[in-house]
Amino acid sequence: MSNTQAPATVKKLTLVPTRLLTLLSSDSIEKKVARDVAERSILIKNMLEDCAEFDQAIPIPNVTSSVLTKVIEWCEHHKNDPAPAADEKVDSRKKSTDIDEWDQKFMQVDQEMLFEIILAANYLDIKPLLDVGCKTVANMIKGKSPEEIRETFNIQNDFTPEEEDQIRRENQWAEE
Amino acid sequence: MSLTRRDLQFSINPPESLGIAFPLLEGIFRVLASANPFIPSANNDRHSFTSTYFDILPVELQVNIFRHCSYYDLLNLRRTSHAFKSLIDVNESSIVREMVELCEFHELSKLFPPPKQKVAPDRMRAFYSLKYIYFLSTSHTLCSELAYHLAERAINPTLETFLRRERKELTLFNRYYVYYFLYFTHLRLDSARATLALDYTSHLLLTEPTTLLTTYLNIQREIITTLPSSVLITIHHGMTFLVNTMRLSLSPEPPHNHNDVLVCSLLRSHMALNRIHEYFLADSGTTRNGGRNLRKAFMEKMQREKEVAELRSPISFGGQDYQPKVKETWFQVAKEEMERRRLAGHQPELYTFRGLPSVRLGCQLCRDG
Repeated sequence: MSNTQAPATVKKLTLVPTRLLTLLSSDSIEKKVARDVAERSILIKNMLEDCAEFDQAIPIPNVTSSVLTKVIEWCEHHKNDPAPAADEKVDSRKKSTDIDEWDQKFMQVDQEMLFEIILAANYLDIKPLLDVGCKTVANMIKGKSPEEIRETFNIQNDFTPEEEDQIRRENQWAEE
Repeated sequence: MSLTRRDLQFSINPPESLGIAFPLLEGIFRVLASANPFIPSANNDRHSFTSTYFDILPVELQVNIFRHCSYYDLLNLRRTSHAFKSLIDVNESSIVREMVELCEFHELSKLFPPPKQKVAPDRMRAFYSLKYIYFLSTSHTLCSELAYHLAERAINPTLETFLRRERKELTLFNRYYVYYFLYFTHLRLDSARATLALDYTSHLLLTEPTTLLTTYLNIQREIITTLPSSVLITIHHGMTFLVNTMRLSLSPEPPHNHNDVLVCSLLRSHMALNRIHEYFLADSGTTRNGGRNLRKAFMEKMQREKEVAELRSPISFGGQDYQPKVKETWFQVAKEEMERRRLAGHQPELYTFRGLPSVRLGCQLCRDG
């Protein structure tokens, strides 16, 4: 029985239009995704460069299925984004930590997921997503007092009052 | 007109000014030594766990996050726990290098590169510290504010139309260059003063009343002769405009050079542009509420500085009889150099602002006078 099923699966995969790819998450869950969406990932794009057809599941060993689903959702929404401008640095300088509205909503996830998305974006080489992720975390730090930052990231204060004083004195040059 | 990369290719070897000048001064001018903003504190911690999700990221991604923050945010983050403190301290230079790359005033880092640190007996590497980006950031704010005040005075619109405008729109001249010149001139002058004082104490007498003036002019010559012509002209226009605006504001009735002694001491003071900016703030009608107090505070500060300067004058500018002249800062040497390079007849600079009269910055050597 199992003997007859295995070839059938392979056959079924080859029948899928070439524009659909299968990604295999680290916890062995398959995700079907349109090729142009998956190619937001430079890693996958390069991998597919020389293959007109790709009929096997592509393993993404570092990314779990829940994170992969999120990443694909992002790629789906951004599949028609224009290629980044030639002078990318100037562009990102202007925007600083502005994040567009959809992305802000998209990033409203728990911290574990947020950091996992950053890791996945880095691994899959999806630079705009990596940027959005890093800026989101940066925005969680910006404009906050040390105590507020501790609350945000659940940081244990292990300084003695003397040490706290010491650091405050070290930082005096920055007080206006 | 904005800075282009090509304009910025030059620089007056700053390690010489920042790195070497300071050790020379140490112990002579305590104030100067303590003002050295760039020496990083040693830190030998390697890796540390913060017990937060930051730990799952490799260090380059942590740096990627931190570079979007300001130096102030990072100082606060550094205060949260030992682990974050050492995370930031260990990676300080790579974080700040990226911050500089991203920030709107990154051009300033070409004029004021970071100091170098010895990483091996025969190898130096630029060290980007949080203090360094703090220096860039405050310098940028100062230059922009000053350029804004100058634009305001040049256009002289009614206050109402002006306040509605984006401040950024209204910056006049290539604002960093004037700062650059005054900053390095002063740094070198202080260093030269220290050397002269050393000579003095070792009985190599310092009697010539003009010695320091000569030194002052020579220092300027060293800087000015290395400037590319386009920058030379730009600073010249900036300085001309700056001085004339100050003169007009200090002495609205002719002769406008009536208060040149004050203009001189402003130009020569430590942190000259800070002083000038304070002056414009104090003098400006836009600070309606605190205006009078600001002006009073400024005048008191200037008075104190004048007294200190007079105390030092026997070793600074050649005794009691010395009458400083405005042209001794920048103009005399710059004119010589412009004539040497045959730069007379260059174009004045035109600055246009949406819906407002445009401003022309020029000098006596410009094409049409």
